[in-house]
Amino acid sequence: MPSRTHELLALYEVHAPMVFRRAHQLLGREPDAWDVVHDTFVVLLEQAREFRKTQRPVSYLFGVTTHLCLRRLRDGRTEARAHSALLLGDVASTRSGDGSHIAREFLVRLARELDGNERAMEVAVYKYLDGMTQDQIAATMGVSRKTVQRDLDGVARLAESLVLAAGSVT
Amino acid sequence: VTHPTDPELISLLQGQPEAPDLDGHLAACDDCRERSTQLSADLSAVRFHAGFRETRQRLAARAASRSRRRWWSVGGVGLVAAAASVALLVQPVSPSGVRTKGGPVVRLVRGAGKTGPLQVGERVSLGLQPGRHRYALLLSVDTNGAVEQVWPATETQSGHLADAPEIVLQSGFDITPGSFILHAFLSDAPLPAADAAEALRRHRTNAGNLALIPGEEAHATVDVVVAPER
Repeated sequence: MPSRTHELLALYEVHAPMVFRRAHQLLGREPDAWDVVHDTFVVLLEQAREFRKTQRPVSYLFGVTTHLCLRRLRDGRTEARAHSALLLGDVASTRSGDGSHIAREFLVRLARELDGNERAMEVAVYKYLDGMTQDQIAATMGVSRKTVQRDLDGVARLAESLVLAAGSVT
Repeated sequence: VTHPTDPELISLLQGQPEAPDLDGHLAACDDCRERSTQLSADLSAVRFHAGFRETRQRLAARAASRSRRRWWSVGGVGLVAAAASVALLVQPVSPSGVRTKGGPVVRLVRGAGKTGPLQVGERVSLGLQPGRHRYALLLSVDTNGAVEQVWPATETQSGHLADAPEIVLQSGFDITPGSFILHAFLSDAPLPAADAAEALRRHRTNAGNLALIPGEEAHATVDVVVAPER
């Protein structure tokens, strides 16, 4: 029977490139992205049983990676915070379709205030950065479509309140 | 038309598609075919980064190191609703050391039929009855005063609990030599793990009662006594 370390490294060979690509996409700096690759596989080490049960291993790791990147931004453990704010601003300004009601200022603020909005931030990233449908977000995050809908509604409400607040100042 | 996500396209490249009829979609969608080609090139290039080899080495060292730790997890570390189990030690106490009737309980869960002192190498798990509280942080303190975060193992704050009267760690743990005390910090909002660890270190240094940390609503402990190795 292969050892746990052996099994982990075998998974690393298969999945690490995808994990790195995702982390680099969100954080923008290679050293930070490799740190997240390491942390993602440490999580895998901790959640081996859950991982073995999943029918969607790539989506599972994609979700873990996204979560760790956003937490890293929230905790300020990376210089990529500014990158993220810019990236999300770019997303808000370039994806003008169904995300047009999401104010750029809101996404920037959300990137800076992840503490209270961690799951909503993930949902927002999947929706507006990755262009996923609500069903795809639900499958990636392992939550119900109803939860995704609720989070997106919350994002929209917060965006609206920010826009109103900005309007009252000017 | 719903286009596949990046992970779905990557799963197809790996030969284990995670969504139905991805091949069919790619055959008909120029954009996704182009995305797939670009993804394949991106992923291949990553293997040539110096970081790929260096991170693999770090990870191998970490995995080897963790396998020597007390709280080596043999599976997931999520908390799930408890199944039938056998409690060995149940000792809920308030921070002042007074047993709290109906309060939170943390307990060690042994395999069916296991009795007597805990033995080195025995597989156990943890059960938690959180009462009305929705967040928990579990830390252990060994006889040398070393504090270790048990759950959530990789988070920097308390974990959210499922809405159930009792929940148990999905994983089991292999008991290693040395007794320890397990502390459960219960709260209604996430607590920083660093604050809890610092409180336990201060408590060992200063003795006396363990005070609640800011935001903590209740506390429970269990003494885990491990039989000496023969």
